[in-house]
Amino acid sequence: MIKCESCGYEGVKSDFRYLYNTTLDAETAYRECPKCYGWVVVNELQEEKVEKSLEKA
Amino acid sequence: MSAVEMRSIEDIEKSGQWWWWAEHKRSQRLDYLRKAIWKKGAKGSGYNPGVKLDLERALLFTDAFKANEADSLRMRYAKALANVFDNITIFIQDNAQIMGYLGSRPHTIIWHPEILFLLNEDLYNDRTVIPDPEDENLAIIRELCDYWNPICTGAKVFNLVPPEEIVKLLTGVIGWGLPIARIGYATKQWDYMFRLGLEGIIAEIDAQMAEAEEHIYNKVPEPDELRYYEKLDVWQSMKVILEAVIRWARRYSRLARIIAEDFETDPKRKEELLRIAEVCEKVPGKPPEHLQESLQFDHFIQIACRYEACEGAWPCRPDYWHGPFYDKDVNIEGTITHEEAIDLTGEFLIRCYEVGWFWLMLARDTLQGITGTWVWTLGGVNEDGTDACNDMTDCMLEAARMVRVANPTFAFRYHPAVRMKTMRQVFECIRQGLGYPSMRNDPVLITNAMHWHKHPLNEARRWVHQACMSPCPDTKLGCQPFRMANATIIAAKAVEYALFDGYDNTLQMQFGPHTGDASKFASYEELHDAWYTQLKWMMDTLVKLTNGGRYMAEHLDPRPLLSGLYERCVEEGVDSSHPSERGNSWVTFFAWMETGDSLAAVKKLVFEDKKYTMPQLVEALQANWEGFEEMRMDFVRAPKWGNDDDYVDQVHVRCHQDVAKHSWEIKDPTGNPWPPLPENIAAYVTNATKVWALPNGRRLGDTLYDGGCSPGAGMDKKGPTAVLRSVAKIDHIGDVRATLLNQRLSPQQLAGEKGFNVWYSYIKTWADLGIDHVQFNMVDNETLKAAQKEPEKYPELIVRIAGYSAHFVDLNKKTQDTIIARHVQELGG
Amino acid sequence: MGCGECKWFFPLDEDPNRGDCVQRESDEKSEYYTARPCGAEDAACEKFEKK
Repeated sequence: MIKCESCGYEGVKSDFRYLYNTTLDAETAYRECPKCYGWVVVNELQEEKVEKSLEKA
Repeated sequence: MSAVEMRSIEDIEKSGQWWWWAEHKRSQRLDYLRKAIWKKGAKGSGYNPGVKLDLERALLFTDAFKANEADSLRMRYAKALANVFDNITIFIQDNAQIMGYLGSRPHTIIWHPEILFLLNEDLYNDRTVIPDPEDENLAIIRELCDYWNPICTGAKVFNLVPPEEIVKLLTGVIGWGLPIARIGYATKQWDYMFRLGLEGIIAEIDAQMAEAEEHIYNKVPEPDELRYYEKLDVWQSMKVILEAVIRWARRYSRLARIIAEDFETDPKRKEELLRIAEVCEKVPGKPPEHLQESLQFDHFIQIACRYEACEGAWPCRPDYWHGPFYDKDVNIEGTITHEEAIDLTGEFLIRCYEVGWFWLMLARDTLQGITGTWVWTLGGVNEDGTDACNDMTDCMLEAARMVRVANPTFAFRYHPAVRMKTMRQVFECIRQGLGYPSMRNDPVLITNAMHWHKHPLNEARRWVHQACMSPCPDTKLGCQPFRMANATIIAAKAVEYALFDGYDNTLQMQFGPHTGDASKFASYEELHDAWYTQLKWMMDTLVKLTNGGRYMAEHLDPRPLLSGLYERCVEEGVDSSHPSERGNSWVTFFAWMETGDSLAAVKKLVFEDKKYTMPQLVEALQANWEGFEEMRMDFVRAPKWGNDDDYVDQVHVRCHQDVAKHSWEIKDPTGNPWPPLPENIAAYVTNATKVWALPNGRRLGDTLYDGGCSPGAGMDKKGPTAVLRSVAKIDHIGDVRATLLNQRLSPQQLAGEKGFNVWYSYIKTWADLGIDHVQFNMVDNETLKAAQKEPEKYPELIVRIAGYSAHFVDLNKKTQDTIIARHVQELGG
Repeated sequence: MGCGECKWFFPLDEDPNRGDCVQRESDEKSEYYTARPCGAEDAACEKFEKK
C-alpha cells in the first residue's frame, strides 16, 4: 500500500496516476496522489509485489 | 587587489561559479547591459514577470494594411511593415553601442497578428503579458484578432489539405506548427548585403524594373514577357521595404545625435553617441567598413527580418563575415583595441538574447528558457578548404564567457586543421559550463550537404546552422528562405502504431494506416514491416502539407523584405519562397532512438528468447506496463543503444537505412529529397505525454531519449568510447542529414591543462569515427541539485538541453530531473 | 497647445512640421531615451513642457 505523505491518503499503486521516471531502470518513480494531487515517490517493483499479494488475499 | 585576483581560478573551477568570475571580469558597460536584459524566453511555458506585450507593431502594421486595399498582398505587407519602421517608438539604452530592438521598450515583446489565428487566441487568453490598462488593451487585441483571424496565413494554409489531415497535424504528432513562411528559418546572404549595402541592392532593383518596363510598357509584350507585370510588383515591394529599413536605421542615427547634442553631459559618452549616429546613418544603406558597422548592419537586418516574420532560428556565421573587419580595426589599423572589440561583440550577443515576440504556448513549452534556436556557426573552413578560424572566432568565444547568455549559442565546425588557440577558447567555453559550442564534424557535414542536396564543394564549405543542427550554405543558391519547423514528426509513434494497428492510444483515435493486429505477428519481420509502413505514412503526410505550404507561400504569405535581401530573388523578380534555390529540406525526427531499442527488445525477448509472446506484450503495453513491472524490467534490460552492442546497434542501423531510402522517394518543391534529422530540443520532455508505452520499457509520461543519437538516460553503461562506437555505426553522411549526441562530462576531471588534453583527445577520436555532432554539459550533479533547492542562488547557471542551452532555473522540474539523470562520462581512464 | 511647442519635440530639418518626441525613461533594469514620431500640430500629451 502507498501512503501520501501530504494528505495521508492510502491506496494501492494503481490508484496513484503514473507521472514519470527519470531513467527507465530506476527503482522509484513519481506518481500522483488521487486525493491531493501531490507527488509521491514509489518503489515500483516492491509496490507491485504488495499489490499482487493483496489481490491474492 | 581586485575581487577576481583574490579568488583563484581553481577555487572558481571547484565551485563551478563561473558566472561570478564573468561578472567581475567584464567591463562596466557589458555588466550594465547584461543586467539590463529582460528574459523573453518562457520559464516553463509562461513568460517571466514584467515582460509585456507591445501593441505598436500590430497596430501600425494593421493600419497600413487596411489603408492599401487596392495593392497586391505582397505590396500591402511591404507598406504595412514600412509603416512600422517609420513610426514605432525606438530607444537607445545607456551604455549601448549597437542599436535595434524588437519592440518599443526593453521589456516588451511584439505580436504578428497576420500569421496565425491560434497564436492570436493564445494571446487573448494569456493575461500575464497584457499591458495596462488591461481592459482597454484586451479590447484592442480582440478587435485585431477578429480582423486578422479569417484572413491570416494560417487560415489559408489550412485550406491546402483535407480537414481530417488538419486534425492530425494539429496534434503535434505529425507536424509542429504549420508550413508558413513567416514562421520559417531563413538563411541570410551576407556576401550580397555586405558587398552592396541596401542602397546598392535598390540600385539593382531599379535596373531590373527599368528593363521590365522596356518589355511591357514600350511595346506590345510577347506572351512570355507578361510575367514582368508580376515581377514589377515583386521588385516594387522589395524597394518599398528596403528603403523603409534604411529610414528606420537612420531614426537611430537621429536619436543618437539628439541625445549627444541636447542631453548627454559625459564627453566620452557624447563621442560614442556621435559615432553611433554616423554608423546608423551609414548602415545598412551602405556597405560596412569597420567592425562596429558590420555588427550594426548585421543586427539591423536580423531585427528587421523579425519585424517581418517570426524567424525561429538565426542561421549565421559571425566570425566568417565580421572577421575581416576585426582584423582591419584591431590588427591592421589599430583603430580599436581587442577589449573594445570584446565590448562590441558582447553587446552583439546581448542584443540577440533580448529578442522575443509573443509566441504559441506549444512552442514556448518545447523551447523552455529561450525564444528560438539561435545557433550561431563558428569555425570551419574557407571556400578553398583552409582553416577559417580567425581572431573574431576567438573574440566571439571570449565575449560569450563574459556575458554568459543562454541564447545565442555557438556550434563549432571542427576540422583537423583548426588552430590550437581557437580550440582552447572552445574548450574554455565548454569547461566554464556554457553548454556550448556544440561540436560539428566539418568534413562529414560538407560531404553530407553535397550528398543530400547536391551543393557544390565550395558552397558546401560555406555552411551555417539553418536551425539547431542542419547545415545550409549561405550562398546565392544555397540560402534557404523557408525551412518549416512543422516538418517534424514524433518518430517513436510509428512503433506505437505498428503495435496497435495504427491506433493512437494517447489521442484515442485511428491515426496511422491499418497494418494488422500485432498480437498475431509471427515474426520480427512482420513487426519491422508494420513499423516501416507507419513511419513512411507519417513522413508522407507531413511532407504533403509542407510542400503545399512552401509552393503556395509566395502567394499566400509573401516576404518582401527577405526577398529583397536575396540576390536570386532580385535577379529573377521572385518572392523568397519561390522555390528557385537549390533546396535544403529535412524532416526533424523527435523521439527517434526509442525505435531501435524498442524493436530490438521485441526481437530478442519475443521472437528469439521466446520469454514473452506478442499478445502478452500488447496487453502489457495497453496497460501502460501497469501490473507488469517485472516484465517491463526485462524489456528495460534488453540490449540498448550506446553500449557498442552489435545486436541492438544493427537494428538501429537498419531503421536508419530504411528511413534514408524513403527520404529519396519523397521530394521537396525544389526536387530535392527529405532526409531525416533526429534531434529533440526540449520536446523529449513535452512529448512524454504524447507517446504511449513502448517496448524499450518506457511508460506514458517518462521522458524520451534526449538526443538524436544519444542513448537513453542512464542506459549507456560502458563508458564514452562505447557510446561513440555505437553512434559511429550510423552513416553520418548517407543515413541522416545530421543527428544530435548529448554527453555529460565531469568538470572536476576536465580541470586545468590535463583537462584540455583529455577533452581534445576525445574530440579527435569522435572526429575520426565520422560522427557529425556532439555537445556537452559540464556541470556536476551537486551543483544542479543545489540549484533545484535554492534557485535564487543560481540564476546564471546554464545547461545544455538538446540543440540549445538555457538557464537551469528557467526549466521545469521534469526537465531539470532529466539533465541530472544523464550519465556523467569519465574520459581518459 | 501642440507638440511643436513642447521642449521634448525635436523637428526634422527637412520638415519642421514633423519630428520626434524624445523622452528619458527607465525600468527596474536600465535607463534609456525613446523617440516617437509626431507632428508639430499634434495635440499635446500629459508629458508636455513648454519650450
